[in-house]
Amino acid sequence: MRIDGVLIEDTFAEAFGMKATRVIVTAHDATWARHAGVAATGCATSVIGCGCEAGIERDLAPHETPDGRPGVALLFFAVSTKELAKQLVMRIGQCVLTAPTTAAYGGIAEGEALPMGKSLRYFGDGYQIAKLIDGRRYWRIPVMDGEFLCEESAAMIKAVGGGNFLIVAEDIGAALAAGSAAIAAMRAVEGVIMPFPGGVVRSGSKVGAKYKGMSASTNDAYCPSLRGRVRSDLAAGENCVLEIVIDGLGAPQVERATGVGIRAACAVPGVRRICAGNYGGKLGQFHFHLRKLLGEGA
Amino acid sequence: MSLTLTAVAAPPGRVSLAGLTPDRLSGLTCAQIERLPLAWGRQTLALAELFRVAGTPGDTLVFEGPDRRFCALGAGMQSGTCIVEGDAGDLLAQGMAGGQLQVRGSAGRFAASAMAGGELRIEGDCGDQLGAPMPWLGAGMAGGRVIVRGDAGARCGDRMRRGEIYIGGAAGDFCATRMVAGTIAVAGACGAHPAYAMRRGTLLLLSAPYAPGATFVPTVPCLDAYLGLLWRQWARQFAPGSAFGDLARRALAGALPVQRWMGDLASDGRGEVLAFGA
Repeated sequence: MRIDGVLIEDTFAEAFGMKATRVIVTAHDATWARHAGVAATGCATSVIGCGCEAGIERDLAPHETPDGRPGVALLFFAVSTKELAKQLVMRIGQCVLTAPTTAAYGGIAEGEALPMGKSLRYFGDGYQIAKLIDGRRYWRIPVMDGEFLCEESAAMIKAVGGGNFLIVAEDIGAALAAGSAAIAAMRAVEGVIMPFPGGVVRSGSKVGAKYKGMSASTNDAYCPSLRGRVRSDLAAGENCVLEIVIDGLGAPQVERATGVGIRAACAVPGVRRICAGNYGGKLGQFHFHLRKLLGEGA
Repeated sequence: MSLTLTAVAAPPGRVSLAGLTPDRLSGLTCAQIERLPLAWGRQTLALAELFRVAGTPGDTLVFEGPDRRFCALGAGMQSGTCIVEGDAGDLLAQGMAGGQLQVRGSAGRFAASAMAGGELRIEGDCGDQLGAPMPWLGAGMAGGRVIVRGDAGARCGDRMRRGEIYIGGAAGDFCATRMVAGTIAVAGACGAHPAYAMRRGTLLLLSAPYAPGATFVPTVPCLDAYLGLLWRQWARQFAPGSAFGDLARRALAGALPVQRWMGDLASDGRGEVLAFGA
């Protein structure tokens, strides 16, 4: 299968079940909402070292937020309920509570409740106020610019983490352009984040390493600088590889984002082929077959 | 399915209608309902002596031609809809936990006492001690929503713990006294000593001027997010033309000046009074 002359490999991305939540952060203006959102989702590229994977799903106009102020929708993914609960309180507490004028709300209607304001209220030192509005409980915590309003909890749902595809290109220029084009297109898909910087990752990994204690190490088969030295998966002319990792609130969202991203990447000159990372299909419960999701045979 | 109980005789005294709720009657036949005992002091009366029963027991229960001597209407209601075509006596919706109770007329004292959930709407006025505890109880209303279109009597929301009370008209003296938590909004005038001995909770005075006592202190109203949520809830909940709906829409169209006091410092001191009047 080819799209715009780019080979789509007959392979699949292997993804995993995760736990996820959405948090709506609002502020006096869009700039401060984004500052808080960027900080809260910072250093959250991989559950391996960050505890969770997180990102800004999209900016929200005032009419889309609970309190009518501009905001951002944030998505957080972790491997367990316990870890997600820990990360949520820590990140909202350190990065949203601290940011001027912000408020935080759960962004998913139903699911297991993860404490948010329920834990953070103690910062109010007894001066916090609980308010029940439309059946949802909020905490008003006095802070130096006024009040930090935080919903008692955020709902958690089962989600998908680790969807991916690799852009194999002639050079770094083409790979970066394709990665940027893919991310720009994928940002329009609701319910997904691409957690790496700019949405793109260069350090694709394989399972294991020669060193003790390393659970993952560089994906040498896709390192152009090792072509000829190791059993490489790169052919002549394939001199740069970038990966896009996708976490989504469900498999359909990951599938849609993957398709949109691949089509955008294929439109960029210099892209040779698209493939995906998997572990033989034995580890992850979700398999996203590239050709199938791109409509081959449809 | 709807069941109608039409009063056919004046009650001999104060008769309790506690337990005559859609959820409890829905499993009974009309004949069984006619035989239900109604408490009148230490005596009982068969329901059929005072009411004609018509229709089919189900989600909706309608009282027609009620009398102020019928008390505890809708008491203990869990679900469904109950409509009172006229006035209701004391203890309306006492201990109500769910469903909708609509009174087309006015209500007596101690309405919504110990109410824990559901919604009570009173088209007319309401007597004293709305949402307040019975004298032998320590805490008042524990949840749910009460909307009074007219005026409310004295001690509205006394010792209230949770829930929302909306007074479309004026509130009497000692409104929100000894309040523990929850929200009370008054669209019209407010009597003397509002929020006296308030511990926590919020009293919103939409048009009445507030003259704080010595134990209330003015604070800076930093309420963008809270009022943003509140106005949106009100705009959804109240139709245009109602005091609350109109105020919410006005606030959403442009910032509304608000003053805030905290108190009562003679008590816990964590309550707040928000005044929107000039």
